Amino acid sequence: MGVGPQDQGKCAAPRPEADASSPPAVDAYTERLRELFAALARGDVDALAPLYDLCAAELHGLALWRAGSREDADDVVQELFCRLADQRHRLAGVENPRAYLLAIVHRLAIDRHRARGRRREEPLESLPLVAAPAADPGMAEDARRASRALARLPAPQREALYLHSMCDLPYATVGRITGVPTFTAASRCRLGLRALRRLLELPP
Amino acid sequence: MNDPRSERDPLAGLRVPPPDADLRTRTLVAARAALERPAAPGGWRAAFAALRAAPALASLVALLLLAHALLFLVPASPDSARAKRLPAGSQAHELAASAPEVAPLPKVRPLTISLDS
Repeated sequence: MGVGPQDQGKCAAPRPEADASSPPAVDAYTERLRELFAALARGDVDALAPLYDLCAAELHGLALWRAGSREDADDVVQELFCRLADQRHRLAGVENPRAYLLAIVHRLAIDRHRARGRRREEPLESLPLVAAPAADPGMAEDARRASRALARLPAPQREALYLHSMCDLPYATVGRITGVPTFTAASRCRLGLRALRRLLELPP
Repeated sequence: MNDPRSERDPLAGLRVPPPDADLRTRTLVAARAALERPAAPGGWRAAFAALRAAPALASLVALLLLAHALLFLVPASPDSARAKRLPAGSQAHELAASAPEVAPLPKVRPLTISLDS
């Protein structure tokens, strides 16, 4: 299909250098999501697999960065798809399906994190939050360092950074997804990025 | 407002690790099962669906609603209302029952001033 968040962000694929002048390729992705939502609303079982292939990597990434556990992220994605199937009659009228899905994942990840009572089976520092691109395995050490640094950020900052930096979403959308004002979303991104650079000992 | 992407991006070239392949299978199986179930209506629709499924329950609910409405529609006298609110047999009830009736106020003829006389 060639349409997906990976075409714009770093989800499941190496991200091209951010270029503010490049037009956002969200439209084709959103259109495809709308088609699949409409099919799902009609009860079309065949819409599930393409929908998963289209957006699961991005959604799983958000759940992973927010919940801080691979197991929780898996559960969140599974629960999300069950909810979509269960409440399919609501899907036909969704205006922005990408933000809709990300917002549900945001809430589910927080619920999952709270339900666990902040118990953590695996230390967050050992969790690979980012990986080296397949084409450049030499970046594996950079990815490990970045993962360790990201693990030390507060979860709201990490989440805002994911949505803005990895998914290339504007601050307003980040705010809508996470339920905070645009200014707060921008502030979280900036603080998270500054902390990340400090932890990675990069020049400010 | 400075855009963080305009600074040097510490995450440049990195990607988010994809989910495990078995998650796809598990998720699709669970979602298919949910999709093959009848769609779960919410709120009022769920309540009406439950009432449609059980006519006896619907009759009972209708009866209760009617009785509730009648309680408000039938006017009650103030004296009986006062006595009803007190538990029967209690000291307060007896006191209320033995209390003398308050005599009605005498009718007062309205004062009229005639300027002719």
